[in-house]
Amino acid sequence: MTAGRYRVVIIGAGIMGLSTAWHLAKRGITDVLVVDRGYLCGGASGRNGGGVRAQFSSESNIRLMRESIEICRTFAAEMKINVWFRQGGYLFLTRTKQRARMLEASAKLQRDCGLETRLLAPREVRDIVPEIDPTGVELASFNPGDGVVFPWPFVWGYAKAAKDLGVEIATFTEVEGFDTNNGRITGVRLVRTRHDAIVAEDRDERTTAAGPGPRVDASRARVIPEGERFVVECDTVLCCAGAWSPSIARMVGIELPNKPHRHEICSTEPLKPWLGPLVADLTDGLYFSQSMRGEIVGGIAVEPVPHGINQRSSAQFLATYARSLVRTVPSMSRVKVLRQWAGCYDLTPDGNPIVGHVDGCENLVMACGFMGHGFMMAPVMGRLLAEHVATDETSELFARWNLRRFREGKLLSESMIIG
Amino acid sequence: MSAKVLLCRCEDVTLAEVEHAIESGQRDIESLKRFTGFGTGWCQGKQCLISCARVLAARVGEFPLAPVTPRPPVHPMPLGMLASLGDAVSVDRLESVGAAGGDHGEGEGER
Amino acid sequence: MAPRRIDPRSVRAASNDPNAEVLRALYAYAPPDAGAPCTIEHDGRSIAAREGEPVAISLLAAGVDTLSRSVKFHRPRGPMCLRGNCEGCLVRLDGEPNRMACTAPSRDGREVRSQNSFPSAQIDILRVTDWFFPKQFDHHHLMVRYGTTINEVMQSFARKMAGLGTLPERPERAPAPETIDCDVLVVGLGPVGLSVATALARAGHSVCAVEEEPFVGGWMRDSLRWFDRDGRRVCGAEASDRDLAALRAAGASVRVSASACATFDDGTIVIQSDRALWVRPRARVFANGCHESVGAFGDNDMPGIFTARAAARALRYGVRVGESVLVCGPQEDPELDALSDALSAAGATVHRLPEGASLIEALGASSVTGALVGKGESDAHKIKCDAIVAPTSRTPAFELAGQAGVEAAQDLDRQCFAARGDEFGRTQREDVFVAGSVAHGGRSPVRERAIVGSVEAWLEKGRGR
Repeated sequence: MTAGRYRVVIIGAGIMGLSTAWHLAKRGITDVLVVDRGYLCGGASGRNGGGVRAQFSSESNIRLMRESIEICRTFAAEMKINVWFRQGGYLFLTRTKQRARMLEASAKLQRDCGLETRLLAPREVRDIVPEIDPTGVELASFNPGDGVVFPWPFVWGYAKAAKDLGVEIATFTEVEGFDTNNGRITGVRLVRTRHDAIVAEDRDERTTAAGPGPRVDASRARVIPEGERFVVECDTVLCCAGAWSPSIARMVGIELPNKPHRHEICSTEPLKPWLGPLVADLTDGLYFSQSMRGEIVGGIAVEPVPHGINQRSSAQFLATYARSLVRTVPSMSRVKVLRQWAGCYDLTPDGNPIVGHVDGCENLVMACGFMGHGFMMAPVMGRLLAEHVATDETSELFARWNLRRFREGKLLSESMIIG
Repeated sequence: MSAKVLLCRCEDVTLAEVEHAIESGQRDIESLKRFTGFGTGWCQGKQCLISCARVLAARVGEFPLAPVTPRPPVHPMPLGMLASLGDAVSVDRLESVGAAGGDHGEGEGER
Repeated sequence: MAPRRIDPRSVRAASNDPNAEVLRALYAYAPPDAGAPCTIEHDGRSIAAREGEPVAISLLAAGVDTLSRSVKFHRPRGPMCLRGNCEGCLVRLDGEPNRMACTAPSRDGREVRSQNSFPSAQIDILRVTDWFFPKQFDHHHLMVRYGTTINEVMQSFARKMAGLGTLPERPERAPAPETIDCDVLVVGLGPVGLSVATALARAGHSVCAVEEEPFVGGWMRDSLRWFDRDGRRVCGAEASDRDLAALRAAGASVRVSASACATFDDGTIVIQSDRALWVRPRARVFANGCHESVGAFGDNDMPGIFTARAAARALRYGVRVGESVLVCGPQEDPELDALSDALSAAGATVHRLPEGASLIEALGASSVTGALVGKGESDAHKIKCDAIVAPTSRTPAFELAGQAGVEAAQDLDRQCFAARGDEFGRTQREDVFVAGSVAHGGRSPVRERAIVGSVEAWLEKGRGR
């Protein structure tokens, strides 16, 4: 059966997919379906630590993130939902000489790009966070413009704004495969993963309605029971499925070099505000910040991680994180962990994303491999992706980020990756 | 002033807020939790999950198939004690963890 | 508020109610005034306490029932569950933020500070938040309509208001953890956990049995009913102690005040008051019972509202939760009947809800001074009281088994979730078993034997490998 036809089907209702859907709708392309296998915020968009920073080591990332930070600042007023963006800065610590040299180089580049990044000697770290024990720290860098957000409302904000412009979002709807013809996707095969009150709208109703805004008569909406399968036709498929992207691409015979990489995170009891910046230690991958609710939210790199997509929690993470955090802030030893969880980074071999058309499937556009930075980049990536899909023009950035760089051996680099 | 009915005491989530969230489209328990914040505070849902699930059931007509994913810990754990676990908690059985989640993301590894 | 200590002798002497017998037996077996007198400090005021009783009980006994303020509305909060499951009694204790006063024992010189209130938990001017937002605190849409600048002002104010305690001033080094390798870890030493753990230990398996409370017995210890041990009628406390003695005699390693907090494929983290345990068992049995929560009625979070078990537990420590107590819940419920009679015997005036009526709203400005009850709006009338035993729902504590990979399934009859196990306690994880009310199992010797059999079969299978 066929359940309708769309200009664009976006796979993944995380912030990347939803931000793109909203930007498409703003450009007048409202004939968009966003599908997600679970609930909103069920993937990495709902599992990350909410860090938003421009302190990167490549110019393109720095410039993109400057724009993202500006979007974060005005998001609440524009999208009418609070995201609790707080610019407390990012404080990077390093404990080795080699990393210190790298930090110096990045800070210079960042200043050249207009950031206020400054380097700090170990004792100066305490001017920013007096509770930190700087023993063993070699060098630090601080950019006051970086900050943290509460991730979930970004997802809800984009989802609501996109829906208000006519975009459809189907959660609990999983992609099972594609119908293809001559190297083009003609249909996306979907299955409802769980019975849920969200409905797939009656397409006839939709096409006869006129004007912008919600065009679906809810009373005509049809509930598709659990397990029901259906196919939607479309012109373009945009894959924003994060760590699930390789399995989506494999459905049309495309192998991506991305690997899911479990990243664990935890949150403490809420404390009165004491920690301004997000603190990140580039040596062991520790990072922590204080949320607007007062919890200390943070994570650390733990190796090895289990193969494949795995979002279970581990004791190794807790012990590793706690040891590093208590070393950095000794008075945290009596603070209690309330909740731990895990999500998947979507890692590429060169630390840069895979964006744009892929050879072998004419109308499939990828936007994945964001290395755990997808959340913070999505506000601006959504605009660029929508532009790309709407105009079919490939920017210099997207050309560099194309999948074919791996085949052609033109790898990129980004060294400021946490965790 | 009318009385408030507190469904989640830890995060001060009222019955009115939960009902409003359901009306605005949070119609599964995981979404409802995230939107209202119930179950994300001190008790992590020990007090409120059932009350909220029952309100949801009354509004959408069916009780949730499963609760929100239970995440460790059940009771708050001090970081200092967790830090002390460092050496005891080895990774020698990690393979058994890895076996749980396949490449495609199926199975119990994914929660 | 009047002090609420019960004179155990008055229970023995004054009451002729046959149901007061259990309370008398309890006080004869475990005198509530056995602990040495000590003094704790609460917000600068000295409070007479008894060593070993929970700090929350000491404060209740002294008439202090408002211990903290809620996180957003600054509504007054006090102990409700008295068993470490709610946020009502969170205080700063000896410099450590967010400690539950119901799980910390009183001892001389302990310093209790209320949190998140200005100037005090009793009178907090930030309560205006509660009145300013009469229905809900819509944090998603607060001040989003007035542009970025106003929104930023709101956010920086909200940041200052957030959080409960303040960061501890001093670090504390935790001692090295203890690693325990054993055949079976039994979590929860209520009646079912005690029985299963004892049988497994008697069969020669190495058993580590942990209980998060400072005593074993679970609801049995707090119960105001009789139990049968060796053909003799004993109170719950005595029955629990006898069962504990049997478990220890069988050779199990028993830890109380040991909270199984997090369980992973390769081990379980157990937090004790002084150190962490890393337990690596070959099989796990979760017998950790139920959570209790009060129903949905107006101002159901007010200090002075308790679960039935909390009220019974306070009695066990020789404290009545109020002078005039409204006991809600079904008529002719044996547990509520026993509680009501015991409260009367302890000197409280007890009201029960009339047939068909329900609790509509708790009345009072900062703690309970009455209740609005009735069969409906038209029928509503006020009852004067200073404590309410609220209608309580008991639902399986499936979380820990859930962490271990056991599915929590809906139970439509009871409108809750329970850990999914078969009648032999087996789950979808072959090394994880569930026993008792965590899986809606209830108490039955036949069933407990079946669970022991499944655990042994699994251990046997593992040995053969």
